Amino acid sequence: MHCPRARRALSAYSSGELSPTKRAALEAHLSACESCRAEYDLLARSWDALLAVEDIEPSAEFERSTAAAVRAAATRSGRGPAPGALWLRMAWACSLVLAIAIGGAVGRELVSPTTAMAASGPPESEIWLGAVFGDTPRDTLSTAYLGIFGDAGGQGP
Amino acid sequence: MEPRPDPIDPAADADSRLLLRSAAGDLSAFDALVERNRGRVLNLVYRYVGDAHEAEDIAQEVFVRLFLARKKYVSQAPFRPFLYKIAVNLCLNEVRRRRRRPVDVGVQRIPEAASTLGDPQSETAREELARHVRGALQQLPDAQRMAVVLSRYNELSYREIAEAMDCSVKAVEALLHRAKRSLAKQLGEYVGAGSGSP
Repeated sequence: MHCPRARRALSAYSSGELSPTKRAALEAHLSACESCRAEYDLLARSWDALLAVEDIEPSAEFERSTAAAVRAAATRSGRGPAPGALWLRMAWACSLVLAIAIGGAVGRELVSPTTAMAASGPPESEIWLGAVFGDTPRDTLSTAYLGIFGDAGGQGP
Repeated sequence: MEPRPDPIDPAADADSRLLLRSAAGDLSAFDALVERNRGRVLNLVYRYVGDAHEAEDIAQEVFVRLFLARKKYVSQAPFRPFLYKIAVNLCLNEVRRRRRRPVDVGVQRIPEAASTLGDPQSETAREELARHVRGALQQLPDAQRMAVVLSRYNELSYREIAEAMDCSVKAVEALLHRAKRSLAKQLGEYVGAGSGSP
């Protein structure tokens, strides 16, 4: 095992997470390499030093307030959503249905073929949106296109 | 040094039974579960957030979430990873929430640990070291700090940490590798000479 690989394995070694084979290889390297051994010593000492931070004890208030919070959660989950919340949800649902209904009615009125064609009187079988170009003479667009691009470039498209 | 075996923990089995009883409606079983695990959860949160009062608030919320999730618990599943996952998620969310809050920037609110009887000089030195350790922990990025807390203080294996943090074992290995190097750099001048133990 070479130094870079050994140093990458030091962390897992100090946590006891290396496989027996890798551990044996690392230990052999550490016994021969002073530099890696020094790095391991520092890493292990600082890891040990973390235990200088002692545990704290829960306050007397903690047990009481946790029991109260759990019971409040039990009451809430046992009775389902609050009545106020239920009314609010119903109001939202009604508003949504009403908005869809009004939107649908208005939209149908705006795009209805029968309403739009009532003035010009084309047959109902004709596609209504086609009536927008109904008065344009045939080939108007293609003539204009050839006039612009055909002459300007000296060659047709 | 042997790799850590998968623990078959009878205490965790008792926790599982208590959670199943509370899922069946027994609130006193849940009280017992809180009593058995409050120190473990509180200290996990405390070492992560660095503030005792805030740690109590979050630990309380961990138990409320555990209670609300009690019916999702499967009887054959190990209890501790279930508990740790809730605690880890709350801690990470809490830190994100605190970052959005524009107060207390740069203020260390870590209380000093209560001193115990003993040699005053060595107690002072130990307390000084503890202060530096708390500071070094808070300097670590969130995920590294959580991995360190779960590994060093709660003694979880890499696999258990990966489960609690919802990441791969390789990711845990990388987090701890970087964290240990940072800690060695920061604490190097405070840790005495001598050989560490793996």
